Amino acid sequence: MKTKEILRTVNMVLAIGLIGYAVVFGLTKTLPYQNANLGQTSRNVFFHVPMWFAMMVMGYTSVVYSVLYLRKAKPHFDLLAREAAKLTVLFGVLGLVTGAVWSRVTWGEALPATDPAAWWPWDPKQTSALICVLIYLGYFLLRSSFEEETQRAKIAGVFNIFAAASIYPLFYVIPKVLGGLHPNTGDQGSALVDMSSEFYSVFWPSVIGFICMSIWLLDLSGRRARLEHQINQLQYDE
Amino acid sequence: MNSISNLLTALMQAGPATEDRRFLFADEKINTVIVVLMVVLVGIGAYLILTGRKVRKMEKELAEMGSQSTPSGSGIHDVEAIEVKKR
Repeated sequence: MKTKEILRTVNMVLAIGLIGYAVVFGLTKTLPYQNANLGQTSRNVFFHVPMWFAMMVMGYTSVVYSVLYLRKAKPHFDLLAREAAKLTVLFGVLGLVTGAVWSRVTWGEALPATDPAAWWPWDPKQTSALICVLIYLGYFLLRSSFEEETQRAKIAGVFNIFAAASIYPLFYVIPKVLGGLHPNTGDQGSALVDMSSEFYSVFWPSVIGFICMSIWLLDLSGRRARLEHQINQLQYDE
Repeated sequence: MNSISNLLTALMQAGPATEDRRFLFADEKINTVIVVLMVVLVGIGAYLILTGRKVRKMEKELAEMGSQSTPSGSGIHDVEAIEVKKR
């Protein structure tokens, strides 16, 4: 119990410290100028990309809990799988929204703001990221269609395996084959290789900070789910 | 119906496009970075605060439920007792 408290505090300190560092240096650090189209928005890489890292960590965490549930049938694992999937959707939506804003001033620069393509050009990576978020929304739709707890947990757990299996192809394989506007798609090299070393000292701390933040949120969500479960049980017993 | 679509077209062609251009594109587009950062911080912050509030509320509720079942208890210990019983 004590170790858990220590880990929780260390994680919180890391999340706040690293995100705080990323916000301050991400906005103020002098970075090499890329081009007029990007302008200062190359700094978005510190806030938009970590959303996807956090989303993937939560997606894979969720499936680990689902597999644990399917093996051990403890309701606690199903609750954690559900909460992690919820956070997968949260980070996915934040990634999509920040991406749309970034897209408007770079890829959609020549278009008027009223043109939907300025915000959403249906780039393969953008589209497959949307599909991935929709698959995770499907997980909740599936859950909501079962009354019986065990049945719901089992079927949602199996669905979750397919959802997690879709992450890699949707984010890497399909965009790589189809090409598009994002870096690291088609023949374009990885943005991580293109970024100069000045970016790394903010980018990686930011990624780790947001991953720690996602773990913090999962811990809190898990506690809420457990309390909800306990209260329901007590009410049922009465 | 036609007048509504005319109005919508007029609205879409008016203000917003230039406003957006003035704000998001200003100073080498730095405001875009601020908007992106705000979306991220508000999204995560809202989830954190709302969930934290719910956890505190339910912890209180559970403590009250525990003290109702055993009137002599202090509440907090009852929650622990319930947890132990559940295990």
